[in-house]
Amino acid sequence: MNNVKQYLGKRSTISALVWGATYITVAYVLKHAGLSKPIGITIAILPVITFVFFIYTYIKSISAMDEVRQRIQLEAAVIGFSLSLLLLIILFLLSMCDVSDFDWFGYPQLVCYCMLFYYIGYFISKRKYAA
Amino acid sequence: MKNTIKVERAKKNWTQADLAKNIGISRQGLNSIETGKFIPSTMLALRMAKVFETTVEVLFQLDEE
Repeated sequence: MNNVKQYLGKRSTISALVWGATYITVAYVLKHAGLSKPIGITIAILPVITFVFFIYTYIKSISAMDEVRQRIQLEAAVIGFSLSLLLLIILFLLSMCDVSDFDWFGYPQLVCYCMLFYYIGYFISKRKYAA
Repeated sequence: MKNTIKVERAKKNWTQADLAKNIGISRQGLNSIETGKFIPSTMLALRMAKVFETTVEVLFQLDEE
């Protein structure tokens, strides 16, 4: 059972790294390669595929965790999602009164903020259960 | 919710790691349950009662108030 948990955990981590690498590479290529629109759109789909696989392995690895760790992951996801939603709401409302700073709150930065919010949630929940 | 996991564990002379291994959870997870920070599921409570050869009611009690 422990071997299965370790295997699923490793698979989830590796798929996260694959997604991260794909995302960064594709972003770099799209920015610097000057591709045509159809090719650009095709390449932009690549991280979606690796992300879907990552989410699939992540959910699988959660299902193999004990219930305390499952609760931590659930709370981390809830906190992360809520903070992300809150940020989007604030940014939308600020954009309505022409207050937008795309250097700090553009799409690339939002991805980082969402991940940061998940880790904040994870940290809070882990401290709560001291696990 | 109170629990007597620590007492039952002492009777068996088990460490948290021993019990955690027996019921299939992490030691940190067991610590959260033992200190009352996390309420386990019925399944886990029953598994715990089984390894201690006792009942769930002995292991977990509702607070008086």
